[in-house]
Amino acid sequence: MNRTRLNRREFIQCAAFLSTGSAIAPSVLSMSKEQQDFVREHSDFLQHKTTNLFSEPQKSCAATVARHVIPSNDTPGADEANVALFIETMVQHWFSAAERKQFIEGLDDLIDINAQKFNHLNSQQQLSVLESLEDDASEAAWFDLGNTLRIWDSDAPFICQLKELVVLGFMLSEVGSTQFLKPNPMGMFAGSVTLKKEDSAHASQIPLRVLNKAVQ
Amino acid sequence: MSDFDAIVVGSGVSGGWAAKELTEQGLKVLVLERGKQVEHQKDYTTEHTPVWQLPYSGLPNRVQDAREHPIQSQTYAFNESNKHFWNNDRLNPYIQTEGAEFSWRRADIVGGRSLLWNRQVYRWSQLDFDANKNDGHGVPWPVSYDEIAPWYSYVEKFIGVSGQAEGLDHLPDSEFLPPMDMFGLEKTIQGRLSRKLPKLNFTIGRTATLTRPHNGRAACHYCGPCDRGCSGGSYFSSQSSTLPAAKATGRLTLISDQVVTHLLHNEAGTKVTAVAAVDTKTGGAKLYTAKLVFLCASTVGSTQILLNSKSKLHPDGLANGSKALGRYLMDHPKLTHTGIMIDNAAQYYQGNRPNGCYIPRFRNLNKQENHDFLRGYGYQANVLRADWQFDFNRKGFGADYKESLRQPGPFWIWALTGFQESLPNSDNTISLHPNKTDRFGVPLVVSKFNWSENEKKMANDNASYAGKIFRAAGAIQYNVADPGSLSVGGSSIHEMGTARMGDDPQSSVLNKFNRSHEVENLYVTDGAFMASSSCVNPSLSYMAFTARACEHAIKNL
Repeated sequence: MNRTRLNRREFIQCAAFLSTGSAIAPSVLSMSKEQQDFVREHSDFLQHKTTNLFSEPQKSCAATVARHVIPSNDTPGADEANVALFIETMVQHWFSAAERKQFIEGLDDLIDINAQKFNHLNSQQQLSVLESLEDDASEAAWFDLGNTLRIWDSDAPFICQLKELVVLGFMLSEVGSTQFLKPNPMGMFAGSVTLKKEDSAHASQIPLRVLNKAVQ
Repeated sequence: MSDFDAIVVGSGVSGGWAAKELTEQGLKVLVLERGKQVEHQKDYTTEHTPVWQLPYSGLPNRVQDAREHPIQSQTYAFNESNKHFWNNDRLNPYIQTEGAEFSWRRADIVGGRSLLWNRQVYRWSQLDFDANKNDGHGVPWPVSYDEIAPWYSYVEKFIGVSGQAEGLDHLPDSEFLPPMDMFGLEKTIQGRLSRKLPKLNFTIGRTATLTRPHNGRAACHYCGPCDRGCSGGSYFSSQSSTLPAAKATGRLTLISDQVVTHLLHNEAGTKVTAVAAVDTKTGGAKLYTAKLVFLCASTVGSTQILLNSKSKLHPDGLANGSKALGRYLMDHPKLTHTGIMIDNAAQYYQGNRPNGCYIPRFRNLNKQENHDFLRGYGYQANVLRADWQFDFNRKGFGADYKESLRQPGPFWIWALTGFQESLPNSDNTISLHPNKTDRFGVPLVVSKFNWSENEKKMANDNASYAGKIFRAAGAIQYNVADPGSLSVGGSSIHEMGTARMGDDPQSSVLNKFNRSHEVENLYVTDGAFMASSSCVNPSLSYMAFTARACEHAIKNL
């Protein structure tokens, strides 16, 4: 059997999931050559997709909105997590053709929201535009309580879809999963741990909506 | 002169056990597996892969899934991290009957679904083995609980089962490793149910997952996604457990990528003489010979092989003088109900427990009970803490919105899934299409499946009693599933029957030792042999009956 010791990067990758000191079998802490190859080839998936869908104004608009949804403050935000690239990747490769067309139209409408163009408004003006877009979308089912575990709401208004992409792009990123949320420590299971104010929710291993799809 | 003493078709839960038992008793064994090789540890490529390294951060590739995996992608355990383990539905299709759908969930790898299963293990009881005899549905079981109990112990000691002894006659205890911890919320619920619904039992799930090192395998480290494979071997799979034991004898040959198409028999029609297979990579056909053949290709797979082995002497399929082959297909109809709980909200948890809790069957435990349905159901109960994934769909921007996503939400979701027993029904069938074949020339499986009135009536009780449990447990709000929305057959992945056992060769395919009534060196020990379905997860019974069948086969060689 091919058991190779971890190099430092791979160890950190594993250690991100191992914050307790509990005894863990050595076999768990080492990775097979195939596993190591996989990890190398599958670093952040965004690095492995070619994106060339958005124009510069579209890129800029997506990044600006992402910053408004998840700003950088005492913790990293959408910029550090490369959320704009996530949005472009998903729209280019994950959306259906019809979803893509609708989304691009929404993005272009936002850019051209008034004579000054969205990207050139000041931050407060941009925020007002986004808030009014959200208010205009108030009737949408996207806002319904619990309407979050479907795979994708293709009928949601543009502003809602954009916000959802920002949230997914941030929360499922390495930055969002480790510096905003925290990985659930493995090594043991404890069913009651006092929740402290500074504690974050556990980061996702697979989006919950994926598990939920099988529930009738 | 045979190539091998025994051929085992399939390497999943049952096939792995047959390989272990037969090799350990001195037989030279060939295992033929239709799926590709997955070697323990080295081929668990996505184990511990963080979400941002998965394609689309683990969000399902809808276009690809609809094209390649329209059936498998409906499974809770199917996702971007493990789809390479599942059957490709485009390459390996089957035909469903309109209005009588059956969802066939299949792996396509060495180890089969033992790598992907949910690991819940429960013994059947005498109540289960008496069910057919008592109410007249199906054929009476030819085996009693006392006969199979030592075999349950035998397999449990090898695989390792964690759980809590409860002393219930209708859900006998296993040979337990220590139970896993409960969530604080579950302890709260357990206390309330014991006061308000004292006839219910609420216990930690019984799982083939190790809570301490066992037989050279590591204790669970609670990383979470078991279905990617576990290098520590902390849950039972063929790779972690039975295949290494078989290999250690030096008498195991395992060949992957071999689709068994049919079996050949002697002139008298009383013995299998060869197993015909096609290599999925080269398309080359090959015959393998052995003194003994164990079909462990899964409920549907084994029956497909037997139906496709028809001959002059066996015109309706091999070993099918009873005409029961392909009939009495079963699964567990289920309904999932959800409650919202605000108790223990100041508490969180650490580690991912690969297990839930269980409320064993409580209906029709004695003949005095009067319900409008026969048999019963049990609930599997799972706890989920709310987080941003439940409520990101709200208004707002900036630091406040961001902060609102950070902490766990102020409530828990408690999900109860009621798994019901289904009655054996001759109209629920697996057959072969008269002229459509797959890429290996094997006639396509045609499935036809409907729930009977008994299952539908039981669903009403399943739903209404869930409401009672939520109220007793203290849920502030709950949603009970519509009893008319029973899961599609097959989707509990507990498919059983189609080559049932029984004492009477006129009405059953196999005898009480899983041997064909008609073909003396042919055994079927996967879910196909089941004569009824109980309401508990069946895999442990496949293991016990397989080990017992192996002993019988060796004694009679």
